[in-house]
Amino acid sequence: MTKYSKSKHAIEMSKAKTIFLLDHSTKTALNPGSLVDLETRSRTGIPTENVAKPVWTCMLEACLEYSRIVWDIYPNHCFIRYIICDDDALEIGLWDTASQNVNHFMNLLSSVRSASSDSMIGRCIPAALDSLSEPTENEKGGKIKNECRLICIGSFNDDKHVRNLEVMCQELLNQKNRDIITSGKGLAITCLSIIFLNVYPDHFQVSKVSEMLCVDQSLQTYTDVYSVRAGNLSNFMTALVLKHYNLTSTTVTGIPMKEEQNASSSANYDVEIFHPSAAMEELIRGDVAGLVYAVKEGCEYRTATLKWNTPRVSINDLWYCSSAYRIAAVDVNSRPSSCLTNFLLGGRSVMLEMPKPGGSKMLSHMLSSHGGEIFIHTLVTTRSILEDPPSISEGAGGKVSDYRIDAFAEIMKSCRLAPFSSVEKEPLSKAYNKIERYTTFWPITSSKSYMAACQNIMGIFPNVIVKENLSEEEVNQCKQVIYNFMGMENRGDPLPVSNITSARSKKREEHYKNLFTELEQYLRAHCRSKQHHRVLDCLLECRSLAGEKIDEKGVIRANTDSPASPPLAKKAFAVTQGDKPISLYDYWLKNVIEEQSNRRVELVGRIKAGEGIAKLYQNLESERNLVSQL
Amino acid sequence: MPTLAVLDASLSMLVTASKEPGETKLSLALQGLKKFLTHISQCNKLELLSLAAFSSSFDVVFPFSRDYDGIKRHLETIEPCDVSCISVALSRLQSYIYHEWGHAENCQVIFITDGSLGFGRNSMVAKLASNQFSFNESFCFIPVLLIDPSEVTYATSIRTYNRMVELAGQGAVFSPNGDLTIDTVMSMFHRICEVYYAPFTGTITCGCLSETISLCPPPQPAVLSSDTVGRSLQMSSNLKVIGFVQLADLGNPPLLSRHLIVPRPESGLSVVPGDALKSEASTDEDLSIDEGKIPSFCVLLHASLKVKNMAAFCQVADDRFGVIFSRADNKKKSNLMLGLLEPDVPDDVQMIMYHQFNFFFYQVTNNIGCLSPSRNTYGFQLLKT
Repeated sequence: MTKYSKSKHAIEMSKAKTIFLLDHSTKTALNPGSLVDLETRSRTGIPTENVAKPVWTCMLEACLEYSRIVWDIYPNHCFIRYIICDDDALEIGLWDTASQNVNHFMNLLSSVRSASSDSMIGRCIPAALDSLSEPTENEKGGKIKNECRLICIGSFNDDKHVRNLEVMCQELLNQKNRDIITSGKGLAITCLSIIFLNVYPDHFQVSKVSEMLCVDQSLQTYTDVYSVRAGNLSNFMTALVLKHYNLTSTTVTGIPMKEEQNASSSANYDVEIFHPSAAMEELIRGDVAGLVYAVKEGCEYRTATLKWNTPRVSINDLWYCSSAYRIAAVDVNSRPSSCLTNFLLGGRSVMLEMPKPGGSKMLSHMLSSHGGEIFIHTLVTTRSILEDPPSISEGAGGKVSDYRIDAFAEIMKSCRLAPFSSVEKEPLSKAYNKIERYTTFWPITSSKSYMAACQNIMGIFPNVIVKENLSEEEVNQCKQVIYNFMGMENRGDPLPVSNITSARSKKREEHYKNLFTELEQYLRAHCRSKQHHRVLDCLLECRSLAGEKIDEKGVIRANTDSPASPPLAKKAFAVTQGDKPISLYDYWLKNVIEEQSNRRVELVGRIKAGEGIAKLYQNLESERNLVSQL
Repeated sequence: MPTLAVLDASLSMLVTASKEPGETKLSLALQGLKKFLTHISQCNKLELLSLAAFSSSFDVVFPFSRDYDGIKRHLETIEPCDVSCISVALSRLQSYIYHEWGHAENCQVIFITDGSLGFGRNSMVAKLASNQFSFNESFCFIPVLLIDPSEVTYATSIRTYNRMVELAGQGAVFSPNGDLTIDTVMSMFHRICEVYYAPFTGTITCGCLSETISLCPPPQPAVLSSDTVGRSLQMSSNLKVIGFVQLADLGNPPLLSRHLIVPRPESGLSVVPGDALKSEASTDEDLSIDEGKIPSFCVLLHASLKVKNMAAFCQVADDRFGVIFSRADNKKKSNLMLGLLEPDVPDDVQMIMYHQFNFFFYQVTNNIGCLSPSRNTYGFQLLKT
């Protein structure tokens, strides 16, 4: 499957480092830009004077909105910095991800002071080029193409002013690249896109700067000049960000929302979002003749319309998505936008449908949130060669009805994955190790496994044995299970092996024999620590006491034995005291006494006496002899 | 990959093969196609095939389906018509493919012809020379030339078709090794099957449990468009399960491709639903019942994943991972599927487009986390129970 790809240059420039040179001179700071719509109530009835935002405010608002959209969609990939061109030449932002957010920029912007009397853009160009030749966090350590964008926004005098700035820029770029080559420090700027944005107040009839575009192949610079009214600057910058970063606008229509006041009725709202164009282009590989693009009112860009589809889908379906991209809401603070955002952040997914030419509809995209961010997933809508596949139950193994599904589900829960912290070394091998332990000697059906049939009696035994190491208490618990089985065998209790077809014809003794054989194989496969060995030893001792001969060749192997289990270790064992085999009671008593004796200091008398009964009143005999002698 | 077999039904195909009297080029082509269909029905049971014939017009004889016996029966109905118009055939087959599959699936077109290229200005040679010919759609072009080396047009045909394969971008020209005989034609189709229709067999391993499996469609080496070097990414034949996640936490990650996991393909059990199974001989039926009753790890895995709404993460190559999940189609038949995730790109290759895995988040208990914040280190840590 080949992926859609645009012109290489457009793609590369979409991730270019961007520096805004913002002209903070009296022309921008003091000139009224656009009027603010204010509803005023004056008692006297005299209309109040209109308040106007200065051009500087319009510029900042537009730049921050541009930056917000970029950071929402490409948080760790796209870097923007501002240089405030006034007497102080304040630089805002760095080429690291920590500074690339709106809050940080707004905090730094609060330290902007008074405007300069003249335009200082020219004087700030060298600083801008210096910054552009520094690598960002992502660019360190490697020879890469350093393609950059320089956006100069201000109120320019005339075309000549702009042309002078352009020439200055090109000369300084040339010089900077030469310096970098000679000194070896920094990244040479391979391609620079210079954009001059002339902002003039709303009340001006005509702009003094004419728009143009020129490309200088030898110097690898692309120059665009635009002239925009202050009131229209926000819309213009939005169209610019779509072009620069290869984004598309999509309007989600028909979102049913309830008003708080009228809880019974709901109206349909539209919410516009931005996302990378690739989310739509992926769809173009299918049949998208029905996708409707319309020019948004008052804007210069087109928006695609997708309809909200009431989410009836279960979260437990895995949809076939070909891509997923972050989105940015266009009008962040509007009520419909925040309503949709909250809905998505609450964990629900939204399907978007696209009209098809024949009048039918097709689900084309899905909005869902992951990790606090909202993504648009592009669904694969084309015909698949996997249409109408046979069910898995029609194939090999499909007619077996006693798979140990619940037990395997427990293994799945125990082996769940989670993000790793950088402290963890080799988490993959740790994961493999765990799943191997849990699946060692694991029959997949219950009809041949005695251990599976007796799982209620086994209790926590299987859960404990799969661990890397066992605690003392866990060892004792496992031993207790073995003793329980021994006790059941002695009493003649039947084992719950009705599911095992081969067990029906066998006697009770055979059941126990098979169970213990399986237990032994299981423990041998899991012998990975001393504690595991102790449990195995306990089992072997118990079996030998019961008179069962341990013959490795005669061991019954279950059909579903794990092929990966190790070969049986050659280990003969017998419990004796002296040369006589002792009874289970004596053996148990011996163990208990040993354990208890470890907990306290032994009596001196017993130590002195050694084996056998300690003789009391030893001196009495000698005294009697003494008395009798007298 | 859906396959379209296009057969040249022009009069020139009725020429007797010089070294094989009694067989015309058309009959050799039909025999070769029958062998091809037999191979597909045995090894690539889920392949969708269509049959078309062209001369001065292009006709779809059998639409895309898995009814290989039906296609074989319709082969007999192909009658030779008149002259061969290659360019008409190529443009019509492209619109047919686009109409059926859009741009998503890469079709394979087996174009069986006798190498005749037309005459004069309308010949393919002339059109290629004057750059009048191009392909609109992307597909894998496999011209099969039934041409004897002793024929005059041999070299020109081979050269012209090679040029067309270059223009298509994918595919290769096949011609008999040596003289045109039934044996060389059969071995040529055998080579086509080996190159383009080799089934993928491998194993799935979950700790100590494992089983042989086949993947349908066979995974193709992927080339990332974001990779400026254009490396081709292979996958190993072993899917190693690392662990499990809840489907709700998985969050519908973008998948490079999806494949059906078929357990124990060597069992010979027919997986085509319905008639194909019933038409097997009774001895095979006994065998198939036995196979159905031998436990399969894949069936267990599928049932557990479906019941618990979970998916399994697996490693398919050093730097490639996939997701195994249960998928039910509209008709309530469910299957075990493998979805391949786009791999990471090493640091030395500049990443200029989106990277799929960076968008892959999931929620663990109440902590929202991000998987793979750093490149080249797919790490998984298991939840402490």
